[in-house]
This record gives sequence, structure tokens and C-alpha cells, in this order.
Amino acid sequence: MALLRAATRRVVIFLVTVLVASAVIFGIVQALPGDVALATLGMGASPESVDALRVQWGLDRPLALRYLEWVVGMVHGDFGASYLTGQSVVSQIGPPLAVTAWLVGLSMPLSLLAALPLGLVGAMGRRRWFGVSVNAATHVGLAIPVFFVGAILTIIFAVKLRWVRANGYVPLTTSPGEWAIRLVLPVASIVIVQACFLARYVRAGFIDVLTEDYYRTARAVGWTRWRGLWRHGIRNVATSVVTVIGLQLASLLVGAILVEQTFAMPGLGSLLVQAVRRRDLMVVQGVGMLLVAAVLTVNFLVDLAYLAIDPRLKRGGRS
Amino acid sequence: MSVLRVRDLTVSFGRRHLVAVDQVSLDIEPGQRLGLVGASGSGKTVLASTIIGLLPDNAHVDGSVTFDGQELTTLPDREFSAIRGKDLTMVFQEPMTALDPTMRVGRQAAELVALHSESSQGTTRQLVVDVFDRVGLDQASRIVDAYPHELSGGQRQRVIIAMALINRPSLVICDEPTTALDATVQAKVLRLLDEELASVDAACLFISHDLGLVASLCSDVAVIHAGRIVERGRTEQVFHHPSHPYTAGLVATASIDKVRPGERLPVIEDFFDPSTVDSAPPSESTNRPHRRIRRSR
Amino acid sequence: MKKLTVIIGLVCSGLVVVAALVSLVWTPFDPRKVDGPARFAPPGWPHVLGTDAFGIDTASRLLVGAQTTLLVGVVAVALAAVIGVPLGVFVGMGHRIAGEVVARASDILFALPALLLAILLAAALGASVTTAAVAIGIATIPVFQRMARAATLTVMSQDYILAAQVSGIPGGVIAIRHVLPNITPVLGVQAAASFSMAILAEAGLSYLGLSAPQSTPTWGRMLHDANLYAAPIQAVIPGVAIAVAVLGFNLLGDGVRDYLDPRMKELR
Repeated sequence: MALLRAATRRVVIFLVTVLVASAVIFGIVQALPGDVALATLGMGASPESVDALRVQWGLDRPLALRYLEWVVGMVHGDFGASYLTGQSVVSQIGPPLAVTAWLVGLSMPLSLLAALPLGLVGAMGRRRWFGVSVNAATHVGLAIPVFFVGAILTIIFAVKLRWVRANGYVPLTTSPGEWAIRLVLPVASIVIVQACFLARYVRAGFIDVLTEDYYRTARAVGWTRWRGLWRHGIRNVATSVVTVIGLQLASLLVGAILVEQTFAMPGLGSLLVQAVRRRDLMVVQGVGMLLVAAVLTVNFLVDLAYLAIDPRLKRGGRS
Repeated sequence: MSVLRVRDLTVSFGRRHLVAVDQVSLDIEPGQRLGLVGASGSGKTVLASTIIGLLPDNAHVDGSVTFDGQELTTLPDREFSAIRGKDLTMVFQEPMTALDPTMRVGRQAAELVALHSESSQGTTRQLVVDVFDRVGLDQASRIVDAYPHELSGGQRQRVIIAMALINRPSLVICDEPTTALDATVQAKVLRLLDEELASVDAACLFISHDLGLVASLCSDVAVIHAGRIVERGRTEQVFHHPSHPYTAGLVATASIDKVRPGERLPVIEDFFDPSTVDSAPPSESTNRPHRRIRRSR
Repeated sequence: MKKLTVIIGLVCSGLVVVAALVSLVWTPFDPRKVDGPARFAPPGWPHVLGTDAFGIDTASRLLVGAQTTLLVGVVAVALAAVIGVPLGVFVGMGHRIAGEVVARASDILFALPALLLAILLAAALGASVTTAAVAIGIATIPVFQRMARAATLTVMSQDYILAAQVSGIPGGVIAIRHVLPNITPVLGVQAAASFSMAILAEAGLSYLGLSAPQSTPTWGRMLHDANLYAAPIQAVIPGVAIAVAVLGFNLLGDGVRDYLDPRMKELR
């Protein structure tokens, strides 16, 4: 019963948060004192033609009404149409969404996979040379911008060694081989940076366990150092990593936006940047909403998962 | 042959080599129960951690510890781990934190069996239930599926004792096993420990600051002060006719019932001047280097 | 070990500051002067770090680029601190409803990373250094808010606060006289960490061409403009500069925190 009430509470908070986020995004893009019509036509345009364009795009109508239309439309899967081309936003988002989804979808599990051993070694060897050097390496890795990692990988593997092509994107259905080859470097760039980010949480989680009495118990019943730490630490680490998974998605999306630029991939990031340059507000607004909603949704799911994972919450016992 | 044989064991910590255990030698025969008595910071727990091989990285060990004829101080972790939890086990002071909070207690015990044998899952569960039953956990078949936070302190300590006995060890080290429990539970857990040690015929190194507990459980006793064994012998002998002034002080301060109303309570310094001991007592921080203050979850 | 961290941090961040200061009065060449014949010159003399695709001296651009980096960092962190800290203290001193509202608002802002927020702002207002700095600053508010709130809660549980409250000293006075001075060290550490995140975000924005205008040299844009095939070194130089700056301020913050927080010290 308590579980149901807690879950309901989270659902309500989630819905309100998404709604507020949509208002914030709409507010930033539409309500700030930049005039799209004027910007589109240029400074020399006559006031009449600017007004005419505003009427044509519906910008003369009240903000609140436009916001309401936008939100109601999104609920029905309609993100509006580009002011510039008249093309529907949804149809423009489709193909880039696949590119970005692949980038993020592959990078997330891979970076976690890479972060686990890094964090484990960093924790176990925190007073020895091997742990300290792993820790120092993750520190440095965090300081390197993802697009610089991309540039270095390109220089090494595409320019010097010529092992892979470092540009563009080929859909999986067109040619699985080409698809994989072109995704290798972008995904590797994101994974390198993200693994360093996650490794610090993993390390902290394992260090927590090392100082726990129950780790000493595990050692006393015959677990070796490493296996005992893994066995009794992985849950603790999982909970602390799950906490930051929403945050991680946010930084993965940022990584994807940047890396798409490095490798000229037609993903959401490229669409977004192009739309900003052309001041195609509906597209910016739509893509922005999609990305923010994705992060909020993941955070919400993590919250729900917590309810399910934590034995103390589940049984409603003492904590 | 002795189960445990400690010779000239010296343990120090850190770069400044703060000495916590100083030239300690002792033997435990099969089935024998040796009480180790001393004030906090006297080196009791460090000695126990040394024997079971769980000292922190910054410890330096000199001397020899042999268990069943095998030298432990130089044993690689992998081989040591095969002995730990099987032939050599330990019961800890803090039942509240000694179990992994995210794992059912029955599973933690079953794991320990599986770790040291090749028995199948099904029979292991039955074994765990049996042992839980033996240590006096009512409804053992339900408690195996409980998480630690669902159990009381006494129940948790019974689980820990069950885990220490489940593989029929030849030596159990008990480090203040009842200090964290309240008095009535303490007596029950102690009686249980007494019976169960006898039933698996295990030797025991029983560490405590409480002379009464040691007297009720142990045939022999060693008194440790500032890292050194100052006195050792049969329990009655040591407690009734202490030869070392420190022991005399311990005995006198423990028998509060003999103090007449209105009289000042005795303190150890009445019997024993610490300045006569040449080595400085180890600082508190070296006593339990693994522990730190934790906020509650 | 700890000393080494602080020293590396000081050296790295010091280098960036010195570069920015020097570039105000002197650069080896005009950082905007196109020199066709000299394009893609390798590092040597007179172009110490070589030239880019337009023959512009890389060393000069690098020095001037430090200005934008630091400027955006300072503005963003100041903005975030000025809004986030009072908010955090206010909530931390115990206003439950306000606390809930602020926490939810923080959630939304956390879902809007600096880069995305800056992109949205750039769409509305046009890309500029100001837009970038403001966007990064806003995105950093929740970090300061949470840190200030947590620190305030710790301070508020102290006895001298209770004493002050009992003797009828108004909340505002307590906040300024007792809470703020006590949470300042923690916030200083946070400022250093946020500074390096701001540098990273600005680099990303200028890499996307959404920060300073084309004519202003920035490290991100230098990296973007570099031709990886013709002169890969021209990508490596600004990339290393960004990494050095980020690492420098990060280590500086870490070093100060280790110095302040004995519990963290024990863990290393």
C-alpha cells in the first residue's frame, strides 16, 4: 500500500515536471525578445513584410495560446511544423533520432562495462601505484572534451592508420558493415569520456564497501580480496551508479551532440545545431523537448526502480 | 599438536611503526578455550586480525603464526582464503553492521558453505536452516529469507555465530561477541556459544574486556596490556591469585559487588602504575584501523 | 600525493591565467591577420606553434583564446553562485514548501545540461559569448543551490545557531553572520569544480560555433577549424589547452577539498 502511494506520488511529480519543462523550453525559445521574423528577413526588411511573416507563422497570436497548441499537439504526437520549410518537425526528427539513439544506446552500456574494472582497480589499489595511476588517468580523461577525443581517434585511426572512415553515417539496414565501421570511432570517443565519469562513482562505491564491517565479514568467511569486493560491492556500486544514470544520459546526449559534429553524423545534435543557425524555432523547440523529456523519463524510471530494488523500502521495515 | 601457535608476534602500523602487538607468544590446543583479556587499545583486536590475516595494508608483521602446522603470516591471500571461514572462523563485535544489508542472511550463510565445498544448492539450504535452528533462531526457515535489517541485534549475532560454526571449524576467534548486545540477550548468546563450540569440538580464542564472561567460558586466560601478554594461566588461578599488578587491578575493578557502599570505586591505577611499562601504549587510531564513524542509512 | 595534486592544479590553471593576461598586452602576431602563403606552417620559427588554414599564427590565437575561456568561466560561476547560494541557504534554513519547489526546479535544470540550454538560448537570442556564459551559469545554479543547502543544513544543526535563534536574532542576520562564513570554504571548492565544467561547456559551444563570433579566437573553434588531414597538430594544440585548463581547475578544487575535509583525506 505504501509502495503504491509512493509510486503514484512519483508519477504525479514526473508529469508536472515534464509539463513545467515544456513551459521552460517554450519560454526560452519563443518568449525571449528575439524576433525570428525580423532575423529571418534581415535588418533591411520593411516593417510590413516582417508583420506579414509574423501573421503567416501565427506569431501574432498570444503566447499562451501558442504554448497550449504546442503541448496539446505533442501529446498527440504532433510537434508542429517548421516556420521556414513548413515541413512537420516529427518527419524531420525521425532519421536523426535513429542515429543519436544508436550512439547513445551503444555508448551507455559500453561505458559502464569499461568503468567497472577501472573503478574496481582504482578502489582496491587506492593506496598503491596501480590504483593511483588508474585514478589519475580517469581524472585526466574527464578533463578532455569529447570532441578532442574524437579528433585524436580520427587522427590515429582514420588519418594515420587508415583503418576506418571517420565521416558520416550509413543506416544499419543499408549496410551493417559500413554502419559498424562508421560508428566505431564516435562511440569510442563517447565511451572513453563517459567511462572516466562513471569510474569515479564506481570507485567511490567500492571504497565505501571496503570500509564496511560486512566486507570484513566476507573476508573472514573466506572470500579473497577481489572476489569478496566484487561479490559484496557490486550491489552497492549498482545503486550508486543507477542514481547517476539520468545525469549520465544528459551528459551522453551532450557528448552525442558534439561527437556528431566531429564525425559529420546526421543525428539530433546536427539537426539541432543546423536549426539554431537557421533559427528554425519549432525544430529547436521540438528536439530540445525530446532530449529533456528523455532525461526526465530516465530519472523517473530510476526513481521507480529504487522503490523496487531497496529491500528496506519494499518490506516497509526499519531502516 | 597445537591448533594455533603464535611466536614472538610483533605488529606495527604506518611509517612510524607504532607498535600494537609486542612480542606475543601463545598456544591453543585442540578444543581449548583461551580468554584474551585487556582494556580497549591493548592490542586484543589487532592480535585477532593478525591471526585471521585481515590487517590493513599499512601493517607490518614480524614473528610467526602457525595454524594446524601451516605458517599464516606469509601465506598468499588465495590460499589463506581457503582456510578462512572453513577451519579458522571469526565472530565479530558489531552484529548490526557485520552482515551485507543488501543480501538475505540465509544466502550469506549458504554462500559461505558453497565457497568451501561442492555441495549442491538444495542441500545447502537445508543445512543453513538446520544450523540457524541450532543457534536458537525461532522459525529458522523464515529467517533465512530475511534481510539483516529485519532482524534484532541478538538474532543477527546468532546468524553470525551460525556462520562461524557452519563449516565445523577447528578454531573460532570471538572478538567481544556480546558487547553490543543488551544484558539478557548477552547471557543467552553466551550459553549458546558455549554449547555450540562444544558440539563441533572447536577451540576458541575469546577476546573480551569482561572478566566475568571469560571466567564463565574459558579454561585458560591470557592478560594483554599495551600489546604484551603480561600474565597467562588457568582461569581460576589467574583471577584468584593474580601475579601481575595489572591483572590484580583488572580483577579488583571488575568485582564491584565487593565494594562497600560509600567507598571509592577502585581504578586500575590503584594497583598498577602504567609508567613502569617501558613501551608506550599504542594510540587509539591503530586499534581498529578499518573502522570509521558512519552515518546511519 | 596531495601536494602534487595541488601543485599540478596551480601550474595548469596559472598557465591559463598568465596566457590570458599576456595576450591583453602582447601576442607574437596579430591573431586575426590572414597570411595565405604561410598556411599550415608546422611549429617552428617564427610561428612557434605553426599556423592554421588561413595562415593565422596559432600561438597568438591560443593566447587570446584563454581570455574567452576565463571570461565565460568567471561570468558563469559568478551568476550561478549569486543565484544558487542564497537560494540554497534560504531553503536550507528550513522552508519546506520552498524547498520542495526548488528541488523540483533543480531536477528540471539538471535535465537541461549547459550545452542544451545554451543551444536553446542561442536559437532565441543568437549565439554570443554572453548567451553562452549566461546559459552555462543558469545550468550551474542547481549545483550551487544543492551544495549551499547541504552545507547550510550542517551549520544549522550546530548549537550556536540554536543559541542565536533562542536569543531572537532574525533569520537574515543569522544567515549572513553565521551561515555564510561557515559554508564559504565548501562553496569555494565547488566554484573551482564548476569553473572547470564551465570551461568544458564553453569549449563545446564554441566548437559548435555557438559562442563567440567567428572573428574571436576560441579554443573550441580552433579545434573545429583544424584540418585533421592536412595539419593534425592544429587540433591537438587547442585540445591540450582545453584539457590543461579543465584539469587545472579541477585539481585545484580537489586539492583544497582534501585540505578542508579530513574524512576525504582518510579515504585517499
